[in-house]
Amino acid sequence: MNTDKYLIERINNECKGMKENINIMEVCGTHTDSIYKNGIKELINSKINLISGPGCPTCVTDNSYIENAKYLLENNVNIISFGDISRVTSNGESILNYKNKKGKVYIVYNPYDSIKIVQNNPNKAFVFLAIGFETTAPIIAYIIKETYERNIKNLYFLCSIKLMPPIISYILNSSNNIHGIICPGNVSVITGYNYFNFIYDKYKTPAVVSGFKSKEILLGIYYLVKVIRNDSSYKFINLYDYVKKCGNLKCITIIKEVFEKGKGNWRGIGQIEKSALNINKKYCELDACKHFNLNYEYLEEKNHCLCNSIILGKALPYECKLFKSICNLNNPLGPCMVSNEGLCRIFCKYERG
Amino acid sequence: MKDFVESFVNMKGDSTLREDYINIVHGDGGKYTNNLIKEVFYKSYKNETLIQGEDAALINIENNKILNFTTDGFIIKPIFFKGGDIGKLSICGTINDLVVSGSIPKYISASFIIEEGFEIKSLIKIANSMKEVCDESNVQIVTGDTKVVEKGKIDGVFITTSGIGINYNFKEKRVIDKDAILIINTIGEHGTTVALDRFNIINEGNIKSDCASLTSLIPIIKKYKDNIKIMKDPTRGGVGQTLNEISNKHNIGMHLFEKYIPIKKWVLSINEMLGFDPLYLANEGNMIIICESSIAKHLRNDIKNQCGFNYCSIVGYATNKEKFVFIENDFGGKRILSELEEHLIPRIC
Amino acid sequence: MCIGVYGKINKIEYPNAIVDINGVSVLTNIELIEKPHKGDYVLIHAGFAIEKLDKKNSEEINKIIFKMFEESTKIN
Repeated sequence: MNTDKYLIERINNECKGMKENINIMEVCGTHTDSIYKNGIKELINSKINLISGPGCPTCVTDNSYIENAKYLLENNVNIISFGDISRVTSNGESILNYKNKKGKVYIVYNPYDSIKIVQNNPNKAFVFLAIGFETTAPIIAYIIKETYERNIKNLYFLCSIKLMPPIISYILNSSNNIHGIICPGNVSVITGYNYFNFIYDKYKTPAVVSGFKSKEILLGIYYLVKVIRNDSSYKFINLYDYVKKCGNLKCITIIKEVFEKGKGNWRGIGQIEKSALNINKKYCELDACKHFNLNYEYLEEKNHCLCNSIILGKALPYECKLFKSICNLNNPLGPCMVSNEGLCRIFCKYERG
Repeated sequence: MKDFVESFVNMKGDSTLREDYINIVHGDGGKYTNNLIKEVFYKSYKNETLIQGEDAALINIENNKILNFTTDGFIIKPIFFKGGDIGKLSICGTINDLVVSGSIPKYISASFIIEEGFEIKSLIKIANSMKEVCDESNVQIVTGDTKVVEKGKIDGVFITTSGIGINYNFKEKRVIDKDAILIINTIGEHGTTVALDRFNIINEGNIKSDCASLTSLIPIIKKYKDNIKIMKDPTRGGVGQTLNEISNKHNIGMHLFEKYIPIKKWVLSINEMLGFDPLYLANEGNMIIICESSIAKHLRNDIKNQCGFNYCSIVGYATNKEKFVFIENDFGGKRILSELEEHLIPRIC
Repeated sequence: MCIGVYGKINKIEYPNAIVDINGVSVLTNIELIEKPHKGDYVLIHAGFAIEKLDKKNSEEINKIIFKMFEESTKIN
């Protein structure tokens, strides 16, 4: 039996005779990619709208962050980055292609490589661009701790680690049109699925934690459609094997040891209280913001790009005038085109038109 | 062939060169490389033969003898990789360009540009790799050149090879609705092997480039030459880019099936980790063959049984229903395989 | 950046482990998970194992899924 086909059949059966739309939002870039890569949208009932929310950490980073990184480069500080963020343009120029840069840009897959890089270059200053959601937070915390304990004096961290509950709350507060939410899988691995209880408790919106394979996503969609249509007794469940109720205690502990909640800048929105993780007092000497005296006021991008609406699920890439004309895979303007998890890039890769 | 030429010159995408300077993306073998070739090289010295845009030019000499003539530059980093080195890569690359053009590779030239300080021991290793492939493929390196540049001006060694083959009257034909698309070997192995080196991940066991000469296929190609429409070696840009180029040139869509794409598990796993799509990674010992559907199964079986390419597979077919290349998974989900526009991994060949 | 892959621990060399992902060996930091053992399946993100597979947890989830389909069958 082909599990995916079976699930699609069950989903479509559940929707027979359905007159209203069902709007389901997912908030994880990997879910977005999997949905489009597997062509799921076209196979399920057209009244089910799968909406992509702010699940891409690069996409929700505002311009002040990029301008700060460029400022560092101009002042002979080297940057170590995951890659995506170094290609996002702000005021027309990205970190990677910044014309006034005096420092170098290093791209890593494993952030732990930063420690090797700085040890090989003890006389140069480095800043690691620590971008991510809760999934990446414990890893960054681990590296910050190690940097501190080994007394490494030339590595700092520019943190833009965002938290999911505040942004989900923001979306549910500003819209009553979301009928169900697929919660991010790997975030839940760290935090536990309890972390997302509020989606039903406060907003009465059904939610499910799903894995990333097509059949796991289809299972999540099936569950939500059932609950939304039949108002069954389940409201919030976890369907992802690696997720437990209370999450990974070691990860949660190390996050609390290094970070504290603070204001976060969200592209297209502005500042949201307690929506980001900042380095706490104990490790503050490693905070690039403090050490280099950086300004962290929210900065809007003014290039008529629709990323701001796209990341909140309010617009699709086709609706942006720059999509596939000036802003394309090789000359990306907005973060949604730069990032592997950005909707514009996903559309360019997998969708027609 | 004139309509093919025209459609190539009027290829989709902008034809104006926006940049004043060469960007690394101009070397990717995709849209930007093609635009650069058009705007600079064709504009300067185009002729009928050149603008066919073939990997190996078809040259008529006296008495109806047809030669294929090809050239390639190799700047790969790292120079030595699992499964080969820049020498092996350069000879295989040139031989395979001739094989897919329907000719028997005969003579190769090899020009070296070497960085001051490069180990002679390594150079000997490279030269021996080249000889090994030549011997296997019944090809000779008959001329060459050697230049040395100051330390720091290039990275180790660059090789340019040119090759001549004798064409056995193979002609590229128009691809039409229902023509079968074959891939002879598992995909993405060269690109993945080379990418790994940059990401500092330990690897062992099965990982290696598929770099190899394809001369063993010549007897089979000859047998089916009247039914084969087109052959390509999917190097830079991989299967995805190569199929797009064929789709654009022949103005026809392609429908592929994920379950028939031959790919090894290690390639899938590594690319999942790194976020790459193996359909766009380089292959250096692989071939795409588009042929009449009536002989597709026979061709596939002959390639498997007589040439030892056990993973040879019919992966899909050309279609009039759409104009683009797309792939279907095992539960009917479809996605487009768009033209490669971005800079995936630098210097993979 | 949620990208995660799954692999099996082949050998432990603190603070890392050699994890096998379909025939490829990857050096992975295991300090962020509890009691890793050889043979455990782990979820890897950016070079770190962030969780190991707990059979009991999987069984619980399978029960929920089973119940979900059972209920549907009854309603339909």
